[in-house]
Amino acid sequence: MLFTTITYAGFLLVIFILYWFAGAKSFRVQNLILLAGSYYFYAAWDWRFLFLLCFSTFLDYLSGIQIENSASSRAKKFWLICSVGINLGFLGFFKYFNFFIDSFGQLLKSFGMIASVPTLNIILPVGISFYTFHGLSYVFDVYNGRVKSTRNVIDYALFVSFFPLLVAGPIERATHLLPQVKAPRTFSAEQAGDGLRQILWGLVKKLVIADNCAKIVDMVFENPGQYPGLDLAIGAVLFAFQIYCDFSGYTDIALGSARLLGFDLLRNFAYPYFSRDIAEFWRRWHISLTSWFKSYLYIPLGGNRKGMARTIRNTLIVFLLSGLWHGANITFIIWGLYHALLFMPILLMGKKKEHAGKDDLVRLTIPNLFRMILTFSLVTIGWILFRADSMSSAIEYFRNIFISHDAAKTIWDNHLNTTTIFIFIGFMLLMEWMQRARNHGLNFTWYRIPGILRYSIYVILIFAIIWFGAESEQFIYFQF
Amino acid sequence: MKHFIFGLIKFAVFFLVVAVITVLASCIYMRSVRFDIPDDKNILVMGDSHTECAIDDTEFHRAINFSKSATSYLFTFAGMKKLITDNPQVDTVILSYQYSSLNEENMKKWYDDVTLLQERIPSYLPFMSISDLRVFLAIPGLPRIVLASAKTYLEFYGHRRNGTYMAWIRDNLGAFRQMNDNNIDKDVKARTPYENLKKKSRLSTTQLDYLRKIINFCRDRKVTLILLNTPVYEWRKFTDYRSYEYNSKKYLKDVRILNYADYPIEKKHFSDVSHLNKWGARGFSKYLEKNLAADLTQAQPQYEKILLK
Repeated sequence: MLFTTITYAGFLLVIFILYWFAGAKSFRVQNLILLAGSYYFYAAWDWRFLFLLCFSTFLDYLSGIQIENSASSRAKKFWLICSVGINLGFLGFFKYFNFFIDSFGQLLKSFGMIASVPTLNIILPVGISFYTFHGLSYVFDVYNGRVKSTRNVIDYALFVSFFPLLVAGPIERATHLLPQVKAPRTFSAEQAGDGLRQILWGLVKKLVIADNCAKIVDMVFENPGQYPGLDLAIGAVLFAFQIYCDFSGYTDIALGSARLLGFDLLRNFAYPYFSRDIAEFWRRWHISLTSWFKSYLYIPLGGNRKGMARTIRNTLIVFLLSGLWHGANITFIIWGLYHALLFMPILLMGKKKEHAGKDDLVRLTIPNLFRMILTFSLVTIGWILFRADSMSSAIEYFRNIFISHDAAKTIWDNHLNTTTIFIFIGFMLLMEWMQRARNHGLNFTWYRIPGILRYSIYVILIFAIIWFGAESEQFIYFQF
Repeated sequence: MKHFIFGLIKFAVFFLVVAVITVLASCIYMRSVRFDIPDDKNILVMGDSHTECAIDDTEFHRAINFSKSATSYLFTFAGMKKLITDNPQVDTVILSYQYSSLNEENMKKWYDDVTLLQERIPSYLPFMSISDLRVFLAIPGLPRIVLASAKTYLEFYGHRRNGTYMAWIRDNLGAFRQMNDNNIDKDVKARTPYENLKKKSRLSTTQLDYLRKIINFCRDRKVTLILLNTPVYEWRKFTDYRSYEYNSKKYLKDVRILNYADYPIEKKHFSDVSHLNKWGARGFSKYLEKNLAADLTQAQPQYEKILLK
C-alpha cells in the first residue's frame, strides 16, 4: 500500500474516522484501532513478515521489562545483549547474509581457494531496518534509564509499528513517541490542517519531481556509455533531487498522516541541500538515523571526549555503519567512507558545529551560496556511488562524465521535457527556501496568506500532480 | 473537529468548482477550434490499427488517415463528428471494420483498460457527450483522467499558437503508421487457429451501438460510409469470419461493406497476420486510389477482375 495511491488515501480516511469518532472516548481504544490498522497496513505488503514484526516487538517488550526488573547489572546486560543480538541477528540474516557469504567467497577466491559458498534466496522484509532500530532505541533507553519500560503491550506494539513510520521511518525514539502513545491525544484543527498540507507537499515532491527524475536517472545509470558527459553530470544532479524528493516526500506524507491522528513524529529532513558544509548536511539529512547513530553508537564509543584519534575512529565507524545500514553492497560502504573523508577536514579544523543551531535560517549571501553549491556538488558525487549497482558501474559512470566518448542518446529527449523537470525543482527549492525556518514547504501560516490564495496554491499543486505526476515508483528507502 | 471538517468541505467545493471550470472551459475551447484538413481531402479514414497500418494517405491522395490503434467506435464517433462538421468537403468515410470489431472478447479492454483510456479519453473528451462518458463510469480514476485531459488541450493551444496544430491532431486522433517489419512467420506460429480457441466470440453491444450511431450520423450528413476490412493473412484459419458475416447480415444490411480480406498480397508485405507493413500499405493504398469508386458500385471488387485476367 504505497503512500501515493488512492488505496492509502482510503485507508487513512477510514482510520481517521474510526480513530476520532469511534475511538474518541478512550485513547486505549484509539491505540487498538491504530495498532490493528498498522498491522493491516504492514500485512498489505507481505503478511508473512507480520510474524517477524510481532516477534521482534514482543522480544523488545519483554526485554524492556526484564531489564527494568533485574536487580543486578549483569542481568540487565544479559537482557540487553539478548535483545540486541536477536534483533541484529534477524537484520543481519535478512539483509546481509548473502552479501557476507558472497564477500567471503570472493576473499577465498583471491587467496586461490575455490569454495562453493551457498547463498539463499532471501526476501528482505519491508521496513526491517527501521523497526529494528525503533526497538533497539527502546531497549537502550530502558537500559540507560532514560525511559521506563512499558507494561502495556498494545502501547509498545503501537510505538514500534505505527503505520506512518513503519516501513521507512523516521526512526522514532522511545523518549519521544512513547509518551505520546501513552497519553490521550486531542484533536487540533490547526495540526490536522497542517498535516494535510504536509501530505500534499510530500505528494508533489514524490510524484512530480522524484518520479519524473527517476525516468531520466534510470536511463543514464543503465547505459552511461550512451550519454554525453554533461548529460551524465545532469543525471547525477537529477538523482540528487530524486532521492531527496523521494525520501523527504515520503517523510512528509508520514509526518502529515501522523499529525492527522494527533501525533508529532521526529523531523527527518531540514532542507539538506541548503547546507554550507558536510557536517551541516548530516545534521539536516535523515536526521533520525544520524541522531540514532550519534546517541547509541558514537557517544557510547566515547564520542569526541577521548582525544582526536578516538574521535576520528568513532566518526569513521559511524559513517561506515551508516553506509552499511543502507544495504548489503560495497557501494554503500564506499559511500559512507566517502562522506567520512569529507567530514574529516571539518573535524580536524574543529569546525564541526560552525553552522549548528544558531543560524538555522541560512542567509542568501555570495559566500553562503558558494558553500551551498560546493556542498551540494560533493554530496552529488557521493550519490553516484549510492545509485550505482556496483563499484565498476560507478567507476564507469565517473569515467564517462570526464572522458569524451560516442554518445548516441541525450537526456533532453524524453517523456517530459527535462527543462520542465528543472522548473519543478526550481519551484520546490524556492518554496523550501521561503519556508526554511518552518518544518515543511507548505507551512504558510507565518505569511498570513489570504484563504483564497492559499486554496489556489493547493489547487495548482493538485493539478500539477494530476498533469505532471509520473507513474508512481516504489519509494527508494523501502529497499533499506 | 467541526472547524476542520468545514474547512475541508470548503476546500473540496472550491477545488470542484475550479476543476469543473477548467475542464469545461478547455472542452468549450476545443469544440470552438476548427480542425481544418486540406480542401483536396474528401475521404476520412478512421478506425483502429488495421486501417492505421493499411492506408497510406500519401499514396491515396484524396484520403486522410485518422486511424489509431485500439480506438473503439465510441471514440471514432466522437472524432468523426468533429472532423465532418468542420470539413464540409468530406463526402466519404472509410471505417475499419475487422473480423474482431464486434467481438466482445477483443473489444472489452478497449473500453476498460485504464492505461489505454488515459490516452484516449483526453483526446476525444471535448467531442463526446455525457452519455458517452457513462460507458466509463466503472473505470477507477475516471475523474483524474478527465482532469488530466485539460493538460492535453493546453498542449493543443501551444501547437495552435506555433501553427503546428495538425501535428497535435495527428498525434492524438491518429495517422497512417508505417510498419517497417515483417513478422508474419513468427505471428503465424504464435497464433492459435480460431477453431482451436476455447472461447467463442460474443457480440460487443457497445461497439455495435456506436457503429449504428456512426451509420446514422453519416446518413444524416449525407456522407458515404464504407466499412472496410483490410487484407488478412489466411483469414479462414485465424478469424471468426462466420460471426462476422452473420453480424454483418443481421445488423449492417444498410451499409456498404468492402471486405478486402482476400486482397492478393505477398506474404512479405504483411507486418503480422492482420496488419500490412509499409510496402503492403503502399500497394493497397494505390489500389484504393484507383479502384475504390468502382468497387463501391459493383458487387465484385476490381482486384478479383484483375486476378481473373
